Amino acid sequence: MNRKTGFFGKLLIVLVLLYLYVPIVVLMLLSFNESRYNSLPFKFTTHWYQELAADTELINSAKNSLLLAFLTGIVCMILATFFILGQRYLAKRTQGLFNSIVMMPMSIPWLIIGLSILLMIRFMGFSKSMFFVAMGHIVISLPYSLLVLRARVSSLDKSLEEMSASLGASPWTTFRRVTFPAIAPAMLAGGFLSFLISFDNFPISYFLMPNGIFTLPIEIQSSIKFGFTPEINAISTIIIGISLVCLTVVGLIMRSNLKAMLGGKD
Amino acid sequence: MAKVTLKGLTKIYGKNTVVDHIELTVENGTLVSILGPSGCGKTTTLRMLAGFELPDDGEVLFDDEPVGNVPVNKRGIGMVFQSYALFPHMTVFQNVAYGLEQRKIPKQDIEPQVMEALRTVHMADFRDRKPSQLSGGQQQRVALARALVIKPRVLLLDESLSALDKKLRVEMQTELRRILEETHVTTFFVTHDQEEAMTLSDTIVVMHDGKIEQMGTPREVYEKPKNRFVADFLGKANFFEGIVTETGEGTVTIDTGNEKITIPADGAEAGEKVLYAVRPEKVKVFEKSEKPAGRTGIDGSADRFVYKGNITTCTVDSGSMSILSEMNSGDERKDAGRNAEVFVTWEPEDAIRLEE
Ligand SMILES: Nc1ncnc2c1ncn2[C@@H]1O[C@H](COP(=O)(O)OP(=O)(O)OP(=O)(O)O)[C@@H](O)[C@H]1O
Ligand SMILES: [Mg+2]
Repeated sequence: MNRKTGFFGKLLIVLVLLYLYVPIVVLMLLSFNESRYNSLPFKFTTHWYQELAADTELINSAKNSLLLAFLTGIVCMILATFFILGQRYLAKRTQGLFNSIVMMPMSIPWLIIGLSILLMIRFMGFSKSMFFVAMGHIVISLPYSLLVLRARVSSLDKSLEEMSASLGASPWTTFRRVTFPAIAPAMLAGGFLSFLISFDNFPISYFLMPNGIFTLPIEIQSSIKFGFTPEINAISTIIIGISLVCLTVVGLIMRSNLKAMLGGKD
Repeated sequence: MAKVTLKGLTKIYGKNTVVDHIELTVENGTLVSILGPSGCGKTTTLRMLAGFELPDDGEVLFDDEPVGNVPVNKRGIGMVFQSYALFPHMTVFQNVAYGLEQRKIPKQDIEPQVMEALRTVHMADFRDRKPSQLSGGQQQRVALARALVIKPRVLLLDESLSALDKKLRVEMQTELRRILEETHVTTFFVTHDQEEAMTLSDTIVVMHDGKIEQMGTPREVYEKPKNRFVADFLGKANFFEGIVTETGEGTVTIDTGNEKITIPADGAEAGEKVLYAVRPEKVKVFEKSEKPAGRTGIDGSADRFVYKGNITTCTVDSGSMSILSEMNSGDERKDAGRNAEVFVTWEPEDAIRLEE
């Protein structure tokens, strides 16, 4: 690579990074800006965070979202583990079919999934409830957990489990002592991804939420209708902060686990 | 510690019958080597014995009891995989202790047994290492210790010494033999190393395309191979094939299709179709001038003599065929030059009559 292409390569990377992160950084900065209308000049304040602390509606919706996402993440993690470990015992062709079926929700617009679940609920005479919202979220988030976990499991040496059995371990012991340690990081990462998908989701929640209960995305959407307040910047900043912490924790777990797996110097 | 019987054992993958109605009985405490070219079904046979694969036909019996419904973890086998399969997140010690823990052995008894097993394979100093910090040969020895420490009824070894250097391998073979004699565990040993199979086994099974070509003691299969495949696979052989036209005192004349040759051999009658094999170490090479009077043999020109340490080989070209000879390097022998005119011969009983 000569110097000229080297320079343009670096420039391109910088531009892409700016494109990705400038809006987020601006949002975070504006949450500390005094102006109600997000206008300059910048004057530092924590006013909007105090305002936020008093805004029970926004806080409640954030709680709802967190709860929903947490539930979705856990359920997806468990389901994905069962699916992926179980499907290995199917015939090759059935495996392929099975995989395309569970992955399908990924290629159907969420809007349509939400709508169809709503129709289904109506059709069966139920009323909207958090239960169905959670179900909808699980349907759309599960493929992400599956994707992450499948990548790990397909590279998992099956002979390790066979060896464990040959040494006298029951299937449960084999799972606990051999399979689980190998796939735990992927389970966590997959669950986390599903958590994010659910937390972020607007269309499914919009269709299925019972009246009067909101998730954060819905709350934000509706409050924008009445004017965009820096409170929303503030809560977004908090969410970004929490995400970063989660990502770091997951990253650390995966690193240390990987190290333990590979037996690196510890 | 168990007599093992394979009854018409068969495995079919798609359209390929990779193990084809194998019949085999292995007495308690014997070591059977399974030899055969890559892909002939050795590993698949072991996997069915272990219970990882279900046979498509036939069954496996331990002590005359069918084990078809006994899951892997209840069969009491010990196995070393071709790929070792050490648990990557456990130390050497934990790997070896794993099987003992499953057997609910009291904690204080586990440690001495594990260390004993590790000492047997010379790996005691590595007890706290992770598998990724070991060389291939070291991993293989840990895998061996892990299989031995549980005192299995049936031991299944899939090329379990292949990654070791010659010296260490011989040492491990000796250890293995000692352990087997002490514990009387019935052992199936898959190997590509003929010498290893010869020295270790009570019985050798030669497999080809999922079928057993021949089984017997090492001496039987080497000295009395049944057919061309076995003779060729176990050691080297010179083949002579054709229709017998004439027989004499310890000689047979064969029409090979392009020519008639007379070779030292027995046990054929005129008109028969025959195939003889002669082991290279039985072939004696004489310089033309020293040709023993009255002996039957083949004239030819010698290719270079190749020194290979304990033996020296020489390929003799008779014009229509080439004959391989192996001589002890220590023997007093004039090294005939390249393309020297020579005469090769052997004793009639060294020509082994094969089935096909
Ligand atoms: N799970 C499987 N699905 C389809 N074919 C298989 C499977 N396992 C093995 N085979 C085929 O069965 C045949 C026998 O395989 P096997 O592993 O028993 O050979 P092997 O004698 O152990 O060879 P090697 O000496 O190379 O280890 C091979 O042709 C292989 O391709
Ligand atoms: Mg094999």
